[in-house]
Amino acid sequence: MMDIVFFISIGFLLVGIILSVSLLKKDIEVSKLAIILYLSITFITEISGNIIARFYHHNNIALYNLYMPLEFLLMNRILSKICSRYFNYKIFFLAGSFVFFSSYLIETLLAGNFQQYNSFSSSIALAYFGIVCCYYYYTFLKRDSDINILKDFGFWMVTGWFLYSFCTIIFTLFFKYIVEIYKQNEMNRGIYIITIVLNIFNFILYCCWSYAFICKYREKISSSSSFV
Amino acid sequence: MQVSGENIIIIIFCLTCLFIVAALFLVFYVGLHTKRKKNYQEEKLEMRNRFEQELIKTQLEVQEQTQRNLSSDLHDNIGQLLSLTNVTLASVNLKDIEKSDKKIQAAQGLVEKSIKEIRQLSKLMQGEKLLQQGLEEAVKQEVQWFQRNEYYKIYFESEIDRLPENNAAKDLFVYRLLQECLNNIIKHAEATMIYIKLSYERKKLLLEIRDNGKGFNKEETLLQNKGIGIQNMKRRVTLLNGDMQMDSHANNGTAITFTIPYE
Repeated sequence: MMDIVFFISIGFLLVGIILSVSLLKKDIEVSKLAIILYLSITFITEISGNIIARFYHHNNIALYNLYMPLEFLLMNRILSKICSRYFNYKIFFLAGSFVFFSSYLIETLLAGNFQQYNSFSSSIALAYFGIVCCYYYYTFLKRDSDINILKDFGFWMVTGWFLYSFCTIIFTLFFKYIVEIYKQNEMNRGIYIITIVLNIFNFILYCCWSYAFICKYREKISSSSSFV
Repeated sequence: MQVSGENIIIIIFCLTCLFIVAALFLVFYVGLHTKRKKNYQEEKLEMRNRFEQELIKTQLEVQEQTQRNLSSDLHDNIGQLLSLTNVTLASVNLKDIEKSDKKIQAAQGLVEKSIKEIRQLSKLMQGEKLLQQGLEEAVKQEVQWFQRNEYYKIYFESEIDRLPENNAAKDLFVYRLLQECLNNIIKHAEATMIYIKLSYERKKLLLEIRDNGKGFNKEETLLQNKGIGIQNMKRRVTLLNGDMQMDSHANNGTAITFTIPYE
């Protein structure tokens, strides 16, 4: 069951990559390269992590620790393009980067290696993105212009990431406890459900983003056809 | 006391559910707010379009009214006067100097009357342009036009010295309201006295029109769908965010007061 959920999630990630490559064009609010890079790196990390754990029976934590700062930087690049329309993103980026990289460095040094997951840094990053998304919504509500949210690329990109980051923050905060419970009993029902829930949030993220790509594509088509 | 694994799982799920609810609430709130804002913008645009359409319609009605007055006056007054002049001059017998003199003088009087009527007509045709000089001037002109027909005694009072800068659209609507009321008085009221008052107080323009006619039962009129003119007036007043008060009783005249915000 967990495998099925994992492969479904990976499937949607693949769909997201295909849609981003085929539908997106470089735009004032679209960082096409960052989106494709992020989705591709996530895909490679997930597949590699799964292979390392399943076939080589090794600890794959180091992989996810290396993935974390890349994810942070790429997501910032993606969000900066979207949010810069509404507020000065640089301030958030500088403050957030300082806090995240400081805690990442400290956690890595304290652990001595990459074999322990930097769950606190991950929580910091997710909380930071949660705050950025909330501020985006605040400025989004304040604007005067009329936007159809069902067709807005930026809204769906931020919403997907907000639901993912805000709702999974608890799992990263309690990561060490979850690992302890898993070590005591691999077949623990709670761990089983947590894994499914995490994959569901991945699924929500990729669905929102895929829809965002389709909205952007439609917007491009309708604006180019209006010139005909 | 060590917390068991099961308890930790329960805590995690409870907190996650809380976060999920909070996140979903926020997203739905943003969606709902945006949708309401969009609906509001659409309603505002629709109202603006309706207002502009009504303005064009009112302009056309004022022009039509002017043309109606012009044609009826040409036919009824000036036409008759000139016909009479023609008949009078045709009946002049140069052999009877005394009678001829009287007839020529009568014909002169008729021609003078015709000239006076034509002057009044030309002023009427400038009625719409008079609106540019202000509502008071346009109403004065309309009143003078009615007063030439000595059947009606019209009293006009104006207290709009503190009226702010002209709002052309509102002036046109108010002028049209006045015209419609006067038309109704002529058609239905059987009145002999009309009282018109224009005043401005507390950022509101008040137009009061009273007559001593036979009055009418307004509820019955509206029920029988006869009060289309009244409904038109109500619609225009609503577009201006104003108010219309009508008081009428059988054999006791009618009083209508329009209150229009004017800033």
